[in-house]
Amino acid sequence: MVVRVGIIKDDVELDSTLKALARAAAGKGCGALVAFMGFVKGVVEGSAVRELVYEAHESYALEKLREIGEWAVKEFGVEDVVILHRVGALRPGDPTIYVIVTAPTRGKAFEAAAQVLERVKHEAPIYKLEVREDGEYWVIGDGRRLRRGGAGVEGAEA
Amino acid sequence: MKVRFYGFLRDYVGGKEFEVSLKDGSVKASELPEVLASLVPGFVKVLDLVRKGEVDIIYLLNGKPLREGDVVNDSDVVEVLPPASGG
Repeated sequence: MVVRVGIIKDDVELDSTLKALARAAAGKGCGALVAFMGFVKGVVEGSAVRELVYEAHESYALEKLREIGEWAVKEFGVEDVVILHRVGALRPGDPTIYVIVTAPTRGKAFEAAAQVLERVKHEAPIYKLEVREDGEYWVIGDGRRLRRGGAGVEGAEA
Repeated sequence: MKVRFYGFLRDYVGGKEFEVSLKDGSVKASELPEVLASLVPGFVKVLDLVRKGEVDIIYLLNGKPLREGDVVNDSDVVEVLPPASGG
């Protein structure tokens, strides 16, 4: 069982990462790997996105990511959970988060990956500023936006 | 006491980090929000958002979540986190 978490600045080389995980998990009775990669949207609410700037409270974020990964292993009976979140200024199409799960069955792997992602989005102290052609917006919680210099939290959809 | 802010809270308070002095050298966890509002410019606007239910914030005391019975001292580091928005 491996729980690997990270707050990272660079891209992940997926092919070698996934193959290494699969090879290691195969000998432990696993036959499923689910990999989720989030990436920066190029258009939000009709406006072009120039970049998404992520920051994290790194030590607390790593603690939360590990807690979530260990929870997933116990809750779903999966083998490995990898959670890597990028920080810094990212451009449309750039990967933002990787969630990779290996498990004995695809059902467990899909379910665990989905739940891990939800928990990370809601619990890990990671923040993003959306820089768009029509202004800069802090993304608050699950998709609400606060325009920089504006007067309140807007209820826009994610 | 050092106070650090993250995400959009920095825009509201006008900075990332503040060094403030507690009047009596310490403060109970339950009193921390009001004390911060008196010491950090702009934090009262954050508390308004919290009271209106528009955002929740988390306080960390020396890197760990602030608990109800904690006492915050002048030598401590308090961090104020807005709702998570990763992914």
